[in-house]
Amino acid sequence: MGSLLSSKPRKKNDRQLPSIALRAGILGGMAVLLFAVLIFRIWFLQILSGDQYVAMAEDNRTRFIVEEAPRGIIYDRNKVPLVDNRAGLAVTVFPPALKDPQQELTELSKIIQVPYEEIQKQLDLHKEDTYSSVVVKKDITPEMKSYLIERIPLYFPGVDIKKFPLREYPGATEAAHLLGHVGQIDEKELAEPRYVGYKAGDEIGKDGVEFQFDKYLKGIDGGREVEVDAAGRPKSDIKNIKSQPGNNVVLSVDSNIQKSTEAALNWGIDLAHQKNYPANGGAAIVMNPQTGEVLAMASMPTYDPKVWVGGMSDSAYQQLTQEGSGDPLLNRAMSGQYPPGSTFKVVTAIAGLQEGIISQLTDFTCTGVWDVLSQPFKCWGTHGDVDLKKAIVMSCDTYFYNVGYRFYKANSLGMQNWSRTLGLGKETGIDLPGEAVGRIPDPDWKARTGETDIDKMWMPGNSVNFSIGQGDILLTPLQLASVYSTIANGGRMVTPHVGLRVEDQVTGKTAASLEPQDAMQLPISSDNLHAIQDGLAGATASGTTVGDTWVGFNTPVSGKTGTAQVTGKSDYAWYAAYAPSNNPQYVVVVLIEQGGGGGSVAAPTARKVLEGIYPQPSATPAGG
Amino acid sequence: MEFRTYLRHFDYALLAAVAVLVAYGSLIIYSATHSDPNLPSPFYYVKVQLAAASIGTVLMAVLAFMDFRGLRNYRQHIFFGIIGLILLVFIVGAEAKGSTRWIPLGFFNLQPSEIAKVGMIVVLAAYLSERGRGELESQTTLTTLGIAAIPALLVFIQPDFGTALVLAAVTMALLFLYGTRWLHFGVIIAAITGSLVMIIEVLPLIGIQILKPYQIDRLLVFLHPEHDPSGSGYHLLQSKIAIGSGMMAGKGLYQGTQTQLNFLPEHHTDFVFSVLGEELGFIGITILMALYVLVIWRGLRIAIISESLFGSLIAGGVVSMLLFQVFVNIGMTIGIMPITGIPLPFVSYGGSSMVANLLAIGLLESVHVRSRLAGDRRYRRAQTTA
Repeated sequence: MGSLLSSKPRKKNDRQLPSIALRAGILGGMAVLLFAVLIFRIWFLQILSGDQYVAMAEDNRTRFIVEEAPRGIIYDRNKVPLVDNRAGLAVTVFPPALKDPQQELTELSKIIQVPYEEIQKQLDLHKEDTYSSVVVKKDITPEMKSYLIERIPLYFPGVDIKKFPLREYPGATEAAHLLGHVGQIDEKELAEPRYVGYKAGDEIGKDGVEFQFDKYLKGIDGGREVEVDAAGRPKSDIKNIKSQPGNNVVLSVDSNIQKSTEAALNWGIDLAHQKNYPANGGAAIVMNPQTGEVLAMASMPTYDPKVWVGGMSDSAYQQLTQEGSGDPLLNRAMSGQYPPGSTFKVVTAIAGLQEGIISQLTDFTCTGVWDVLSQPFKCWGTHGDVDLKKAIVMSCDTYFYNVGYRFYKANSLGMQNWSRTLGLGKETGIDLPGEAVGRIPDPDWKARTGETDIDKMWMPGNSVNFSIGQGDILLTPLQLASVYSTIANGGRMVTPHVGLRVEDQVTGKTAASLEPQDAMQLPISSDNLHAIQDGLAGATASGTTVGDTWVGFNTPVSGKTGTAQVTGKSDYAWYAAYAPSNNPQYVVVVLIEQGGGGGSVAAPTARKVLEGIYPQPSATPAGG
Repeated sequence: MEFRTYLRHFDYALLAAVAVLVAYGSLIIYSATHSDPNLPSPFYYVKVQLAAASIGTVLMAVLAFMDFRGLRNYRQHIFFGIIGLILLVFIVGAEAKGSTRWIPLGFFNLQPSEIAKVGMIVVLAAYLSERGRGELESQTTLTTLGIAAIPALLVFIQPDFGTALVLAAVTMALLFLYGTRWLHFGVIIAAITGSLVMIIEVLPLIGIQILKPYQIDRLLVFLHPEHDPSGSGYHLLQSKIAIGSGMMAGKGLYQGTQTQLNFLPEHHTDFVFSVLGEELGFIGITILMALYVLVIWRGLRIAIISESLFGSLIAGGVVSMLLFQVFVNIGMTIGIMPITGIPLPFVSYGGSSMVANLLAIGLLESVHVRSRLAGDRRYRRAQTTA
C-alpha cells in the first residue's frame, strides 16, 4: 500500500490546469441544483402544506383526558343507597403516542390481563377520535397501578392511568336483578335512537333500573385538555371541563323488606329441598296494591353484580350463562313465565260472575272426580256441595271445571277476555326492561300454533284446564301480583313500578317524578269482588290448603295457594296473598320452581315474607 | 513571512460565514436542549459545542498558517494515522445505539471517522496531484478507489454507514475534479449501485447480513414512511411535522412544540435542522442555506484560484464533503434522503465533527493564503520587470 501511495509521478505537474475551473464550475452548478431541490421541498412542506403540519403538531401535543361523570346513586324509598360509586382506576391508551403499538400493547396486555385482541377492539372503536385517550381496562388493582406507573415513562409511552368512577353495591347481591348493572355501550347500541348523543366507551345501564333510568343516572362527562410530551406525560392543562354527576333515583323498594324477602325465598327453597323437591329457583314480590309500588322483588338463584364492575371476562360471563348454571341472570319475578295453577282460580271466578256463567250462589257437587268429558278430571279432594266461597277457600277443582265447561258450552271466551282485562297475556308496564308477557291460550292461538289437526282445535278439555290455571296458560309472578292487587284494592288496575322520583345529585331536590299515571278502574262489580275477597280471606284459615301456615299471625291475611303441574317436572309451588285483609297494604306473590305444593312450601315462604313486614312474637310457621 | 501579511490574505467572508453558522447552530442547540431536566446546566450542550469549536478554531488557525503543500509529505502518516485510529475504535470504542464509533478520551469522545473525512481529502488530493494527467488513467482511478476503500470499509463495519457514504462522495468528487474519464465514472457508479442492491436486497435473502436490519430500515424508510418496523418512519414523520408546522416565520425560538415536548428525536444532533425549521421557519432556513451557499461559493472560488492542483483538489474535496453532508442531512429531515446519521456541518451537536469541519476550513484558508501570496509575488515580479 505504501508503494502505491508514494508512486513516483512521471511528470511533475504542479501547475494550474484550465479544466479545473470548468470542473469546479460544474461542481458549483451541482451545488445550486441540490440547494434548489432542498429549498423547493422545504417550500412545499412549510408554505404549501404548512397548515396541515400545524394541525398534526397540535394533534401531537394536545390530548383530551375524559373525566367520566359518576352515575347517580340509586336509593331505596328510605334513601338507603342500593347502588353507590367508588373511585376506581382505569388504564388508558393514546394510540398516536405509542412508539411501537404492537409490542407495547402485547406487553400491556400481559400486565393488565386483558387479551390483546380485546385492547385492539377498544382502540378500533375509538378510531375516529384521535384526540382522546381510550380506556382499555377499568378497575385495576393497586399492585397493577404501582407496577405500571414505574414503567410507563420508559416502556409505555402513550399509556396512562386515570381515575374512573365505578359502581359499588353496598348490599352485595341485594336486588341484583332489579337494579341491573352497567357496562360499556357496544356498537349496536350506539346506533339505536335511544342512545343518540352517547359516545363510544360510555358506561350505560345494561339491565334493570340502571337501564331503565339511564338518562337520569348518567351524568355529563368532563375532561382535561392537556399538553403532553412525546412520552405522553401531561405537561400543562389547556382547559378543564368539570364533569356533571348523574341524578339520583329513589326507588319504591324498601331495602329492609327486600332483604327479608330474599332471605324468606331462600328459606322457602331450602324448605322445598328438605321435602326432596329439586326447587331450582324461585321468585318473590312484595307490592303495594293501592299504588303499584314494588317494595321487594327477589329472584333466585342470583349473582353478584360486582362481576360486571370494570368489565366482565368472557369466561366469567360463560359461567353465569352456561348449561347447569341455573340461569342466575334471569329475573324470574318478571321475566320467568309459569303455569299459575290454582292461584288463577280467582280470574275464572271473576269471569264467571261478570259474564253471568255463575252466580255467587251457584253450587256444584264435588265427588273427587269430574267425569263429564271422556277423560276424567280429578279434584285434589272430595268437597261435596261447593259454592263460590267454599270453592275458593278449599280450592275445589271440580267447581272450576264446571265453570270452565260452562264457558266452553256457551262458546264464550269470557275467561280469556277477563284474563286480558286483568292484565294477563301482556306487559304490566312495570318500569323495568325485559318483562315477559305470559300466554293466554284461546282458539285462535291453538289454530295458529297447533302442529296437528287435533292440536289446532280448541277442545272442551282446554277450557276445563284453563279454569284452574293449567294447560297452556303462562304468566309471570309480577302479573299475578298485579291481578291480586286489583282484587285487593277494589278493582283498580295499578301499574307496578319501582321508580319514585329523580333527585338532583347536587341540590337533592326532586328533578322529576317517576310514578305512573292514575290507575284504571275495571268494570267488576264490587259485590262480586267482595265475594272473591271473602273467599281469599277464608282460604288462610286453618284446615284449608295452607294448613296451619297462618295460625297465630297477628295481621289478617288473605291468600291463595297454587300447585301447578308441568309435564316431566315436579310441581311449581305458588302463593299469592295480601295483608291486612281489611285494608290491604301489601301483596305478596311467591313462586318456587319445582318446589312442590303451594300450601306446604310457597305459603310458609309467603308468611316468612310477611314476617319481615309484620314482626311476629314467635316466628315459627308450621309448614302445612 | 510577516504575520500581518498572512492575516491580510485570509478569506474573511468564509471565516465569517462559518462563525455565524457555529453561532446559529449553538443557538438552535440551546433551544433544543435547555429544558432537558437531566442536564447539569441548561447551557451544557452549548458549552461543549463551543469548547469543541474553540479547539477547532485553534487547529484551523494552525493549519491556515502552515503551508498546506507540506502536507503532501505527510500523506502516508496521515493515512496510516487514520487507519490506526479507526482500528483503535474496534479495541477501545464506546458503543451507542448499536454501533461503535467513539474513542473515549475522558473529557471528550473522539470520533475518528469524522477526522478521517478531512484526512482522506488530503491523502487522495496528494496522490492525485502527483499523477500525471492523461496518463495511465485506469491505474490512477483504481488506485484512488483502493486507497479510499480501506477507511471507507472500516467505518462501514463499525457500522457508520453515513461516514462511508461521505468518503465515497468525496472520492468521486476528487476524481471528477482531477479529470477522470467519464467512462470510469460510469463503471464506478454502476458498480456502486450494483453492490448496494446486492447488500440491501439480494444478500439478505440468502442469509448474508452485511448491514444490520435497523440500518436497512433507516435507509429505505424514506421511500416508504408508512412501513415502519423500528420507529424510523415515526422519526421521519415527526421531523416533517416539525419543519412543516414552522411555516414562514416559525413558532419562535424555544416555542417549537415538536422540539420542546420531545416529539422530535435526536433534536440537537442529526435532526437539528428540523428544530430550526420548526422554530424559525422558512426564513430561518433560508438564512442557514445562504450561509452554506456562501461557504461553498468561497470554497469553489479557492479551488479555482489555487496555484496548484493539490490546492484545488483539497479545496474541491472540502467543498464536496460539506455540500454532500448538508444535502444528505437536510434531505433526511424532509424525507428525500435516507436516514444515515450524517451531521449538519457546524450546526449539529458533536465535537469531532465540529473540529474536523473547522480543520477543513483551515485547509481552505491555507490554500487561499498561498494563492494570494503567489498572486502578490506575480504582482511584484510584474512591478520589477516593468
